[in-house]
Amino acid sequence: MHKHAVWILTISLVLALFLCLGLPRDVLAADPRPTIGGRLLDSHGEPVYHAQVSVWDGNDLIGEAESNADGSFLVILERVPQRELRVHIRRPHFHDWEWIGDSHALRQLQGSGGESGYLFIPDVQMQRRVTIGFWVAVSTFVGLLILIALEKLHNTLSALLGMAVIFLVSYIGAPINSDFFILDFERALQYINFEVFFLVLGMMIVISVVEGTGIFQWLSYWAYRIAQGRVWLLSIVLMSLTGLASALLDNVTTMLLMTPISLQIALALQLNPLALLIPEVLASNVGGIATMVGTPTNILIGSYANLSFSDFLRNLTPGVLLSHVVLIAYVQIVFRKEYRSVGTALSATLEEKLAENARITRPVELRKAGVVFIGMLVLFVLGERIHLGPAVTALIGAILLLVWIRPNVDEILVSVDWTTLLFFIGLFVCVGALEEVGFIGQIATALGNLVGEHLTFTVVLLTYAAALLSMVVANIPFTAAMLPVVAYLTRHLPGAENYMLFYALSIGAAMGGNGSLIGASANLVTAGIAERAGYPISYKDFMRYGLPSMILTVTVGMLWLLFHF
Amino acid sequence: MEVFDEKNRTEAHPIGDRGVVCATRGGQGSEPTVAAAIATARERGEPLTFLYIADLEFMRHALMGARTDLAAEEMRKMGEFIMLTLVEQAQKQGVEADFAVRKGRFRDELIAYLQEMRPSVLVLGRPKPETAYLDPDTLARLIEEIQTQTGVSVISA
Repeated sequence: MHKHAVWILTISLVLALFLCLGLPRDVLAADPRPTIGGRLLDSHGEPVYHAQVSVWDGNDLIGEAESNADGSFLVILERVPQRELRVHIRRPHFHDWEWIGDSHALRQLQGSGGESGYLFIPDVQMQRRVTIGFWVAVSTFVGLLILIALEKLHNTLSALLGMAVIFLVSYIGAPINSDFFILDFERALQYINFEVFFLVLGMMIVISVVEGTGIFQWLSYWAYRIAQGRVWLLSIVLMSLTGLASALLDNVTTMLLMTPISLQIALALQLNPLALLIPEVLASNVGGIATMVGTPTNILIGSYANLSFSDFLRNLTPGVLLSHVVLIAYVQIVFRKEYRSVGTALSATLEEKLAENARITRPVELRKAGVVFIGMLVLFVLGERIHLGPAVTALIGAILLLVWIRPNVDEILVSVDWTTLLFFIGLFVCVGALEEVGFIGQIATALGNLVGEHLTFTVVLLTYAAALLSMVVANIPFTAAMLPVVAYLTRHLPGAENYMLFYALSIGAAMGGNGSLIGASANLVTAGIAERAGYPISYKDFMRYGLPSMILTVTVGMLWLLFHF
Repeated sequence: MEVFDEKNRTEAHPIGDRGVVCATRGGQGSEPTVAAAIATARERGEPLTFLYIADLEFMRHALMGARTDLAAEEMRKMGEFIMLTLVEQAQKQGVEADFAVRKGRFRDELIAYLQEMRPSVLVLGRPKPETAYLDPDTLARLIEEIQTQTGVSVISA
């Protein structure tokens, strides 16, 4: 064993030395051939990448390259052009660009004093073109939002259908008319954010262990015992517990665990369960954004903008806590009548049943999951110092937990919500198509023109617009589509380089879910369970309590951002 | 939808050609149904079983991370608690009562349960527009189907 380790270490060292010493020499070796370099930008000054740059000598192709992520390109030529230097740049969804070099350019390529020639073409501005593919990509995304909103098709199927339409049009339509082209498979893969994928996967594995332990039910039961009939106190504890759980787990799982036990507690107190359930789900949607891993929207935002777990803790969590306090005060006011009247004590049988339903079911797994979860939180916070991203931390945590508790791996893999992961893949491709055809750039420009250089106005507009739209539109696709727009505004708006617009998007997109029953999956799941217990939550009832709370909490969160930054 | 497995299925004792079954979800909207079921059981001198069916159809709304088996387990516990409150209510009125909890599509599970237990009467709720799980037309069709497939008399209260 020890001998093997020495061998592995030696081979690794040799490989590392080879890579360190050998590769740079090859890569950096000066090429004696003439080269042409430059940079491609769109009309907003954004880099144009993956454009095909070809250099011709009359009718002979003498060099070809693709532009990089920063828009730069470098074409190494086979020879110095003898007849005519022609540079042709082509990229789908842009007008072709062509340039013919003069004698001065040719002289530069010939070089002097034994050095190879180099020609630099100043920033090339590529003009966008609205194609049929543009309209197909936009219609597909709008269709996706409608399908999700009307629940005509499962969310994942809707996203995958969108992806299929984009590929179908690109591959079948483009040979007929090149304007049908949207993006190809290789390009689509580049739009899939694998950091999001693995972070969600890792968290799902950990949550699948934690959720079955009964810890939240047990805590809720003890809140009930400690409150001793003081419902106002019970609601504060349950809301805070829900908010905390949502900050660490996803909101749907949290409400799936909290709703049944809260409903039983409410019945035990002869209280209308909605007086506990509505505050809890409101607290879940607010608390969920306290950390980077609490909601899919925060995971998307953090991964896209390269924000760390600590960034969220520093810049968003205090605002969320303030919103939570305001929400508690609001709930105490609107439910004051319900909280004043509580019923008689439970029979011994029902008390026993309630305690039984709220017991910790897997204490050993809970202890181990607790240790790993705390370790993960520490790594989430400290990991950025050693460039350890949240996705890697989540994966390490998930794997260590599985190795430690040795569950049935098949069961754990079944418990991972693959449909959600597939949803993300389909969604990333659909949003990538919007970006590819230039739709997102147009939205960004329009928004940029609207807000001018007013950062405060932008924060207010973005937060409320995101909140209002999230009431009716699924907030995950909406957030995914808004990320490049917010990135554009962050780059161009003076003072926005601190990423506060990303936090504004987070607040609006997640807290906006409180504005209507269909605003968040957690609302619908809570309503579903309550309905199955004979306490339906109507759209009107939810909005009566949810909409004012949404306005309050979004405003407080937004004010925090304006104060903090 | 699957039925509860042995672990998370709660069954009352088989009734066999006698007994009253009340399929309910509890809640204020079901109070008249429960009262009617207790009254029927008392009149007939037969045991009463409250049946709760955890229909997890709402889980299709759950996009992220939600597990149907977890939901089923939590719904079972909740269903048992709610049914136990009804059992206590019936027992206080001198009626022998028990409960059963199942998971699955309401219609399928209800018919399957009646075929297995063969009670004499089923008491179902009469829907009110604001709280109804089933609309009146669906309920009428369901009652007809139950009577055809199981031979059990249905009281809609």
